[in-house]
Amino acid sequence: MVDTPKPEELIENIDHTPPEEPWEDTPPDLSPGNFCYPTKKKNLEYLGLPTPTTDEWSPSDEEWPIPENWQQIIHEGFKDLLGKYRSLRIFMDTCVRCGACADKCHFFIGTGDPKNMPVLRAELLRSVYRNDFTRVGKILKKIGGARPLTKQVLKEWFSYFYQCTECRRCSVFCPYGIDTAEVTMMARELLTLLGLNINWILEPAANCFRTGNHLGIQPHAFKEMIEFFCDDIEEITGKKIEPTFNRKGAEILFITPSGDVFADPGTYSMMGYIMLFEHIGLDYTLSTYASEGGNFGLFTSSEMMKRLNAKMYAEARRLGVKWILGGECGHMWRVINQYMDTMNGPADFGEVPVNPITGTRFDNAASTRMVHITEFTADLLRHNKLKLDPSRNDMYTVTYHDSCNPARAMGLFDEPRVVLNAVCNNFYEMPESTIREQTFCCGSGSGLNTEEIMDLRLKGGLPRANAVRYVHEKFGANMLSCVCAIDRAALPPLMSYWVPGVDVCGVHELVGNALVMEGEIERTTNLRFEPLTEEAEVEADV
Amino acid sequence: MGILQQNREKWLKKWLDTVFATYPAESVPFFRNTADTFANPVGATIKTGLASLYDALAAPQFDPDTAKKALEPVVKLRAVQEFTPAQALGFLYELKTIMGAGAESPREEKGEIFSRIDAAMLMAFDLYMENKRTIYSLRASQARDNVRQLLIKKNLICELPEIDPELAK
Repeated sequence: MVDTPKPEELIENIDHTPPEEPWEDTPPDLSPGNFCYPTKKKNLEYLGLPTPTTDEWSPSDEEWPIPENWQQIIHEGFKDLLGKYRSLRIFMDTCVRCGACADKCHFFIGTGDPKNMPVLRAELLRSVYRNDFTRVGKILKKIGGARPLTKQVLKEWFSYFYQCTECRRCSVFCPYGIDTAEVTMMARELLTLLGLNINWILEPAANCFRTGNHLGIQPHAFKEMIEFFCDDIEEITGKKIEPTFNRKGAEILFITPSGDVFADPGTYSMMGYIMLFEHIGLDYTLSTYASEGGNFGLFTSSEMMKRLNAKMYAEARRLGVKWILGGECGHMWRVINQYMDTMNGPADFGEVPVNPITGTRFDNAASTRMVHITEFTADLLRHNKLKLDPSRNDMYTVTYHDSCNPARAMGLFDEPRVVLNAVCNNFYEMPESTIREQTFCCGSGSGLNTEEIMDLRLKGGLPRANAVRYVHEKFGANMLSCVCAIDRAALPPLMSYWVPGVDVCGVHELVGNALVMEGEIERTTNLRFEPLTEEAEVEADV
Repeated sequence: MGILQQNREKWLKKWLDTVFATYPAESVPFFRNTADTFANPVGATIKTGLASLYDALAAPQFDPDTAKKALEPVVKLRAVQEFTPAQALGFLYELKTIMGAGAESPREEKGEIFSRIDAAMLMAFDLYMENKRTIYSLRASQARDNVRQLLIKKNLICELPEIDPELAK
């Protein structure tokens, strides 16, 4: 007879206790499913970045393909960054480990992994800083919180700095204003010196460098996609719209993330922008060269960010536009609002943006020459320039996710809400501690929106989803609006798992639905071709 | 069931402790003590879920649907966290251990509760796998949809047209 263990024996064999050793000695979990796939070598080569010593490798390999003098490369790189950025030195020196940030990170809240506490994540880098660059660290070693850069530390960096979405929620709570997202950016820049970056970041960056956008959509295909949307708009509204491309002399250049062109539900926002511009008679053009608002250089190195960002200005100058209008994007706005002016500014083209319809001068964008679409639309609304029928969005009970970067990196809180309140009748806010500057990340930002770490993304997105579930249950919210292309890609699976019954949209999709355009036919569907009323639905079924 | 009801406060607390003990020691105080549901969804889910499940197990008549409803959010959470399946669901059997070490109780009553826990465990298996399947399909559909939609829009591939049911007859 088979010797079957008794239940008690089985229970005894299940070890629930986490490892006893201190965090410094706990190795990172780099088993499959717990890391993003490393980048293909060709992407690094295309961008002129350092490459690993072999073509194919996995973070779960014992030995990583890095050059023999890797420690020296990191040390030199670190030294270089410390010389370049006084902020980094301050971030490394000032943390008093008060713990205010500890429980503010969505990855910590979802996983309970102490290395996802922002203070400890930064400590991974800080401990090496102390060891290499401070006298106290050199003398006191481990007692002074210093530790040498070993291969395990390097693996830890790869694991945890690609488990941070650079959302900056933690820095809102830091009494010293330490920007932990920038600590992550610096660590990733150091890892990139050894070719240790991930494919979901490097491939879009390389594509962007070559064709102008993340997916590598070529100019003719980009144009055809937009024309395809115009066919849909014509079917829905009866209005034929013909946007222009690369038109010199246009007043405004419109740049949006390419996600709005190739990925649902962003495409419906793209339709919304086009309809809005047509309705107000805006003199604008689209570019097939600056066909990407997103900038994955932000997740690679400052130099890469600068290079990718420069094409916006180059194209604006080439076309001779007065200013740039930017679509609903996340990190694009962090780059524009916080770094563009330093890297490539002040702008050497055009003039201070003025809304040609209302005459409003956007002095906040005087130097960058770039205005956010919700600022622009909110301004149109304030001047009563739009005719709207918000009842066309009545099938939706809408809530709004403050996308991290527009919220925390540019303080864009009220403009999207002004727009939402104008274009839909049912709008409800999520709890106060989960919106505006305290907004919770979608869990997939900063290049982590990749399928191989779906579990991690779902864990990281739990605090966001939990707040959505609250408005879903309390007010019947069924539409989560946002102003970020990564959100529009990341939130649908997050909702499918945690809050089924809630869909995701961009703010300008709802604008497109509500907009009453001159000469349009009576609409029977929204931009998704869903019937507007229940009667229409019944008719459609017959 | 009398014995579970009599010891509710003590045993539920112990039971919660065994679940929280499956997380890293540094995180336990946060999960256990942070009361704000929105700041601490993990702790809130576990506390609410286990309390409801405890009551379902203690009820005079065991209702599997009530137990399942209580289990759902907890299993959904544990299914995405860093656990093996046994670690994720093992907390259910911990209640048996707590009861074993606790007050003496009539053998039949204990037997009944144990079989309720076993039934809950079987439900938890199903829920766990359902959640895992959802995660796998979300993964697969992301990989597929990324490119597929573009190919359809560009007319490089086409979907089968809708067939008029009248013509199909």
